[in-house]
Amino acid sequence: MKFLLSIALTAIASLLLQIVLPWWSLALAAFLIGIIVSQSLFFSFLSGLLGTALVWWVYAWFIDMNTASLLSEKIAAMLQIGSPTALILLGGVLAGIVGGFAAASGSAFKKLFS
Amino acid sequence: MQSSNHYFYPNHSRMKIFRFLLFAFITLALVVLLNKRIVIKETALPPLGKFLSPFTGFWQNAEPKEGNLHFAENISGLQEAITVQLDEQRVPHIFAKNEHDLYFAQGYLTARDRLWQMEFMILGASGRISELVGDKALKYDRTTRRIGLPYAAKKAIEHLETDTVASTILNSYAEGVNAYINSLDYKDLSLEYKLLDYAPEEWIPYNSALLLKYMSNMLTGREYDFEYTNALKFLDRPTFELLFADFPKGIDPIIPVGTPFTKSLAADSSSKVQSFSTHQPFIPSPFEKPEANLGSNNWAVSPAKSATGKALLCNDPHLALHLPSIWYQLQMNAPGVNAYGVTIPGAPGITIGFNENIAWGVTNGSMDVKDWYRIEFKDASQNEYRYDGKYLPTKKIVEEIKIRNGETYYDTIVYTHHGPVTYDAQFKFYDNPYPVALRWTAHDASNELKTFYLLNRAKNYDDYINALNYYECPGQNFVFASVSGDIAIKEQGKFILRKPDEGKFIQDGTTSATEWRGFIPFADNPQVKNPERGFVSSANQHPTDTTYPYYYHGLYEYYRNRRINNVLSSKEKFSAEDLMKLQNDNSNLMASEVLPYLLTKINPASLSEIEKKTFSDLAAWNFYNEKDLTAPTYFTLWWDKFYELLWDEFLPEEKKGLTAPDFYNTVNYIITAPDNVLTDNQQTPEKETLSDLLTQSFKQSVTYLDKWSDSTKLTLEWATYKGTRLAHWLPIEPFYVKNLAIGGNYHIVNATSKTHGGSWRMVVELGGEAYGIYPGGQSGNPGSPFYSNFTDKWVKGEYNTLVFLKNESETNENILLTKTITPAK
Repeated sequence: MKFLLSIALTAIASLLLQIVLPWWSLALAAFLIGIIVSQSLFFSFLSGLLGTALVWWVYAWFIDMNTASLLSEKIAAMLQIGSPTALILLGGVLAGIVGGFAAASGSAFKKLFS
Repeated sequence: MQSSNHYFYPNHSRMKIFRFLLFAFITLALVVLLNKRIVIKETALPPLGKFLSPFTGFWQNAEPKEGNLHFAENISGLQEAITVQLDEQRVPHIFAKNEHDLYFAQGYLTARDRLWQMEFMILGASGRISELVGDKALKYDRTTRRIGLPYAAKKAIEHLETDTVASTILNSYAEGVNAYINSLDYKDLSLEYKLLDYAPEEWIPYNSALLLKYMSNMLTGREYDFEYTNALKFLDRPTFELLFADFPKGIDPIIPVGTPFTKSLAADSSSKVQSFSTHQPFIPSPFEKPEANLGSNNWAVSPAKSATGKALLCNDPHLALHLPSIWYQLQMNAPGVNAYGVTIPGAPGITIGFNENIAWGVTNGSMDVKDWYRIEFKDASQNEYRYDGKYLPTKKIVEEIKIRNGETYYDTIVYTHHGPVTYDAQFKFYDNPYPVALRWTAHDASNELKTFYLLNRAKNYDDYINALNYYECPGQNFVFASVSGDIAIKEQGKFILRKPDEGKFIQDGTTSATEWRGFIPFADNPQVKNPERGFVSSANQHPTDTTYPYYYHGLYEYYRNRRINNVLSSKEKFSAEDLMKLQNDNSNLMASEVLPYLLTKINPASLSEIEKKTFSDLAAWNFYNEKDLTAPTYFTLWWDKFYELLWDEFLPEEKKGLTAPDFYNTVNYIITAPDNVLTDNQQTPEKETLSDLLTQSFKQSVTYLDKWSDSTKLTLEWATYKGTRLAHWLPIEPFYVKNLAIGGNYHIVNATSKTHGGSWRMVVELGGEAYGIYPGGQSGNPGSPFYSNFTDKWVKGEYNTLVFLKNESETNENILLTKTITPAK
């Protein structure tokens, strides 16, 4: 339950921050949720990863649907990664790795004081 | 996870600190890494985090099917409210209440669709591409600066700022571009900025001057002074004049033969200029030239020859086929002006178009206006050079060329009174023995912007001629037609008063005897109004026959012009549809004149089965380069192979520092002088006849095409083989549009080759409808449905009916939205 809550909070916080701040603000969000929600490092990492990645996946997928993959197909070809779907997945994975480590940092930070 | 995992569950507090620091470090390192452009060998990756973010990255450049319909409610810098109507083709129609706002809006709206492209062209024109892509562009950047494009633009802007009109439009335009740039966040930047990871700079009026110089270089930069100088080392004078004739037999000039010319100046036509080559060493050509085979067609048909009784005007400038397209359509309306046409992003005003009273168009006039002078420096310091027995001081300018991921390169350019010493000991790609300075009309200050300003507002023939009087470089054939029924054409530019042959060879820069003595008065430039034949036309051919009272030379077209004139003379009346057909005409005049002769030189008995098939395909051809025929492929390849064998003395050009005769002179040569010693291939011990070369090259071409077809799995139909494509300005193939099913080629009215073609086809019925199309689309964004949406129609030879609104309140069913934009407080 805590795990799911942590994913949801990370997603919401990172979404809000990225509307006004650069992309790396997702790390801030994940870091904060890593501090707020007490979990093992591993679960913090995983919820940070999934929370931030989900936001990228869903938003990118939404844009892609709306724009009929017109640009994503060109970018996928340019980066030689096959398809718009692969491109969406790649973006989320990269965001997720950053979010995951940021959340783990937050969790590790909290554990300094426990 | 069990607590036995020492790493994740340490008890020691120092370990906990280490663990936190490690994760924090990894997080930060990832952020930095993903925020940075990474170059691995030749491949550059955009900053992946930034670039792939759906919030700010490339996803924000993806547009839905209706495109970008967002306009600001108010813009800071406008003086009064403007109205923008956007039509279904995404052409903005600007209605402004004053001139400032008109050009402000042009700058703003052009930037909205094309900001990256206009800035990229400026970086190109000022020799700053290395800033973006690193030292692989250093040679290009040095060349650009050493031929003096930024130097010329600086002179030009100083001059333009002294003219109220030019200064107003340039500054208003720049304010508009900057208002747009200042409204942007990272997420709004064009895709290319995100890819290359940089940001737009402030737009300054100087940029528009640079753009004009860039166009001047593209259109007048090509000459063969080095190559001709070299050719005289081994060709005798009669042979040289046979191969590189100033006026070959059979030309069909722009100004109809028999038209009287005026001569208000006495030209000095003393003996021919002694080429400098006879006592100079052989030097290969120093650097790449602007592209060959740029060209254009334009014509106007008089009311008497028009099916509707209204004059017709057509123009199709042929340029490199790029995306975003080189042209941007716009209607510009303000008190005193209501014009529609295409603009070059970065240049204020409409370049080719029409208003309620007149229409105008341009083709390149190819008179040589670019000369090279040999310089003798006093010593290696290059501080002084010899001139008329004295030494004059040079001026040196140090150019700072910033290089991405590299050290700044400093290039000292020496200036003489002739111009920049482009080519000296510091800048040589070959083993050149002496420095040369460049004298070029493009270096002179002039006010071409005013010509377009006045043409946009012109009401009649006199206004047109007055507008042209401000136009100097690059020389253009301005075609004109008016609602009142006048048609005219004038080759306008600042053309040099020359002695015969002057400017064809490298000249002696140590004496005033070789200097330009002046320019042909504008009133004497080749021109004709309402000629008897009922039409005027140009296609980059000679402006005049030899009765023109001033000497000139240049690089001219011999086929498109004759085809156009043949067609326009073939009928009593023409409709707009007839003229659209002519713009897309694929008749290969050259093939019809030379192929039957070539075929007689081949002995069919000596051919293999597949060669026989090709032979009969060619023999049955109707001489049209239609997209689905194979004969144009066979002919083109055969001719190219034959040309290489025939002119082995001159080719390859870059290696030998020579140029081979053009196709027209080559045809003249093989018909009139096939036994000349040049025919023999010097690379072989045998003595080849014309027939031998033709047979060899025929067999080579058939073998080559057979292999090509096998390896590519493609057919030999002309469009497939040619593979016409629209290339993005950056070499990113997914942004290209490729393999267009279109016919034509060089020297054909539809001059569509693999890389070049009709960049804007326009047909205007004066006082009636106007039609236009260009390859590409209004949006410069590869993520927009309007990036290349015109292309299909363009390929098929179809046109859009242009929406020309008489006034702001006129309703038109093709208007998609109307937006009033007010000045921001």
